[in-house]
Amino acid sequence: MPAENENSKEEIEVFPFIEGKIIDLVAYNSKWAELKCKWRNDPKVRHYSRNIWPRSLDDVKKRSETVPDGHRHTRDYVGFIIYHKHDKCPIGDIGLNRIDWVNRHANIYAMIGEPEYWGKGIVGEAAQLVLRYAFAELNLHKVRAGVFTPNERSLRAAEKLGLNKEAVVKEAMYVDGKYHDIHKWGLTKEEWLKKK
Amino acid sequence: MTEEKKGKEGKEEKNDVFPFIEGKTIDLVAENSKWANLICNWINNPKVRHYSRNMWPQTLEEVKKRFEHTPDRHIRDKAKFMIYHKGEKRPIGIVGLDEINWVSRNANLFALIGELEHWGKGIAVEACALVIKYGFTELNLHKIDAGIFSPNKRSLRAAEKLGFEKEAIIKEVIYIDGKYHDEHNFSILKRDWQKSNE
Repeated sequence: MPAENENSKEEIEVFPFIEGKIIDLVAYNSKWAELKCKWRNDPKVRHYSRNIWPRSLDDVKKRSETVPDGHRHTRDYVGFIIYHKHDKCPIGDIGLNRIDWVNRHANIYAMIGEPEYWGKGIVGEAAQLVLRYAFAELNLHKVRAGVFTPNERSLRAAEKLGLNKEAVVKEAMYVDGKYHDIHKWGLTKEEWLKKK
Repeated sequence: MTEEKKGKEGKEEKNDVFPFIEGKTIDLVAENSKWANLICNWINNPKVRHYSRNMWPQTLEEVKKRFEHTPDRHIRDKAKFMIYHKGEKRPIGIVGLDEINWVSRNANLFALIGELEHWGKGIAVEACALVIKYGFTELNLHKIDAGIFSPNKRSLRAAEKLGFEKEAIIKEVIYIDGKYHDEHNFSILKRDWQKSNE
């Protein structure tokens, strides 16, 4: 047991689920609720993740309590914490939501909650791992992503990942007093296999 | 408004039967809680439950609970239908897919004809064929399984007629009426089903 010390962070057990180079994708731990809450509400972070509602800590806690339906084959989202291997700390989250099991597609989302890790290609690495997971483990047919125009970093990330831009939906997002376009990206399993 | 039809027992039959998939002799229709008594009767009927391998008594309350909530459309793990006889205008059984595995994309096919006088008329085969088509062309499944235990000759023949392949015989895995029986595992792949339906 680590000694109680003001300077030492509380030790939290980390369970890597998918291993990367700089980061691992690990299972969420309820002890990270405060951190997650900070990310969700942080003005800089939420600007890009398009979160316009304040999120209470209770709400964050409640959300992590509900394992989707308890059935392993019937969940409609999968979320991971992006864990920095060297710095030994969680820095963001990533996952697939809106999984449609009949049409076999899902939406990929990612968020780096600690701005000092922005622009280091971490989302790119994490997203590669999630794409592989989506196609090789979940047997999905297509992964989709939506990025709104001022989010240059994510647009570049989508391009680097090899996603195809399928559509630009005009003025579909209202952010900071202005309408913005949403770029819809997609990648099929076949395309992903070819690019590998 | 058309005149309401008279049902078999002379009761008024409202137009609340909703065909979801149309067949020749039967339609597959959405379940309705008003049929809870009927379903409860089938499940507990000694002759029926012998073949459907149900060894626990089920109360009407338990059957009614089935209708209380349906999971979201993308996280369901079963799809159930009532087999509705078009000529007699009444439900005679249940058919559907359960244990749906959305990752490996397979499911288990089940069927039960609760009204004994309709046994041996090929109705389960017609209903199962519709469900198989539904599984492959609407639910985008890869494979459909069925497990039949050895004394159930009628279902064994039905599985063959439907184009299922026997994959395995699991020895003495089911205990029925004082004896162990083998289970025959049948399956059909989408590509094989497509070939035989071209």
